[in-house]
Amino acid sequence: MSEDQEDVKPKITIVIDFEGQHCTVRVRPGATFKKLFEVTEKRFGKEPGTFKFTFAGKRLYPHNTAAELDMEDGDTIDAHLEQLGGGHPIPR
Amino acid sequence: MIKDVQDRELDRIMGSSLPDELLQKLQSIVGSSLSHMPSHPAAGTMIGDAKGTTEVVIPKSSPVEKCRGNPSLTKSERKKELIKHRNASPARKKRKEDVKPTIAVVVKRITKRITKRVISDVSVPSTRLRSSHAGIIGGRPITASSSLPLRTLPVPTDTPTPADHRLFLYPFHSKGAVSIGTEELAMLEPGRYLNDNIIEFGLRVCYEELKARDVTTADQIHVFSPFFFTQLKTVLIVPVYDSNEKHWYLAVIAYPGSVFGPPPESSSTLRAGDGDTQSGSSLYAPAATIFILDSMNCSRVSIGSVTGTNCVEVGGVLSDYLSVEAYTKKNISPTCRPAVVQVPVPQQPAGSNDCGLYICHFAQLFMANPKRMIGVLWTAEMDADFLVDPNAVWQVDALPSLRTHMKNRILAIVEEWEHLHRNSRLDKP
Repeated sequence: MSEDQEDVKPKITIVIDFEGQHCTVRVRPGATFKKLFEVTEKRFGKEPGTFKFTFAGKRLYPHNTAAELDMEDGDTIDAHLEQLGGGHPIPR
Repeated sequence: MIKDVQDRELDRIMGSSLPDELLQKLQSIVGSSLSHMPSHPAAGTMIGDAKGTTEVVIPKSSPVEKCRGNPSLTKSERKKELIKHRNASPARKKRKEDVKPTIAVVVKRITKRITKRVISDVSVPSTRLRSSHAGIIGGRPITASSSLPLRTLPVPTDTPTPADHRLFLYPFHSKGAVSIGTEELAMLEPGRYLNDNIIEFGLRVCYEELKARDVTTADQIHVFSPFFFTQLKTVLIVPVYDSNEKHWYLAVIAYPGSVFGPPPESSSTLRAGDGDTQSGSSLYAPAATIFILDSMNCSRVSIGSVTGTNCVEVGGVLSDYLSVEAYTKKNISPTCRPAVVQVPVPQQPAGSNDCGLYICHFAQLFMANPKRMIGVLWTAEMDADFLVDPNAVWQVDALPSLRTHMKNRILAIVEEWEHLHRNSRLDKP
């Protein structure tokens, strides 16, 4: 039964946008983003856990899935670096 | 949880494809005892799969595997058998002269080290956190005051990179909620920079409070994520991050829709007014305005000038954004550009890194009474002296304790989260 369900839901294409650079991946709607995040970080040469991902302004987590967020073929996920600020330079 | 961190760490180590790189990493963790290890280990191979589990595969021919694979032996018998094999094997004798640890041994050592590190970094303090607040259910309102008792921090403050432990997602039952962990808590130590998670949390927490109190007003306000979100409301609140200056400030866009003509009049529409200035309501006729609330006005613009470079720049960007948004969503072009106003807000002291806390404070004041604050922003634009007492309006007394206040707030929510977690299944932070 579970096999049938997997067959019914084909992979969808997701575009990942990091500061204008694009990376396209194909994912199963039911699969978690863990792998996708790892692949993206590798692709942009970043350490694992560097990026913060958002879809339509909402934060994504590794345990989320495309199906959960009603993502469709061709949707874009944004990758961001952490923003860190306080106004004055931190004394070293 | 400890196991989780172990798995992640191991997974990370296993993930590297080059054996040499792997060896380097292992060496850096375990130390010099590995200097004799072959770069292509023959004794065992490590496999890390996508689920984060790790196994050490030992060749079938090895005595270890033979013993393990024999179900007829009891545990102690198997152990004896193993020792016999080890002592008898030529490898054992050789090891005495030339130490060549197998991957399995290495993995064990790493695991031990990681466990030790994790226990000392996270587990002990989090126990402390729990025990010191036993029986308290979170979610109680905390009042800002300089005499706030400081709650116990679940992370040591002197370690530069403690193992992070995610505490909760806020709001609890929301998609795309913001994750708060010990990393964010540590940022609330004096002088440290705040990240986008804390900023989003600081703005969201007071927005949620307003929503619980007054849905009609809350529905007309939209708080952006620091990564920007697109929707047109009566009031937009945009945390702005200046990556060059490493600085946070707040933009409040009032009546963005009025750049396309007069807004629809409705009794429930959010209008400025605090009761005593109703006669002059024409003064507050909604016109699109971008208010900049920057706790470091002085450093970037000359004192006395109403609009600075920074302010004009961001105002321009936000105006452009509104135009594009209007064009793509409603297919109309704006008839005018919104005014950009730098509001005279309290300034952070020299050397302070509190701008992120100031913007959360400004948002908090705004959410506490949106109608009144829109009035304050308008009058502040016309004449700073018009404000009866700016110190009272901006609650400057609360400024020195903002870090403690936010920290306590997070810790109170941790308790609430853990309480809820016991009763229902929530997403992992």
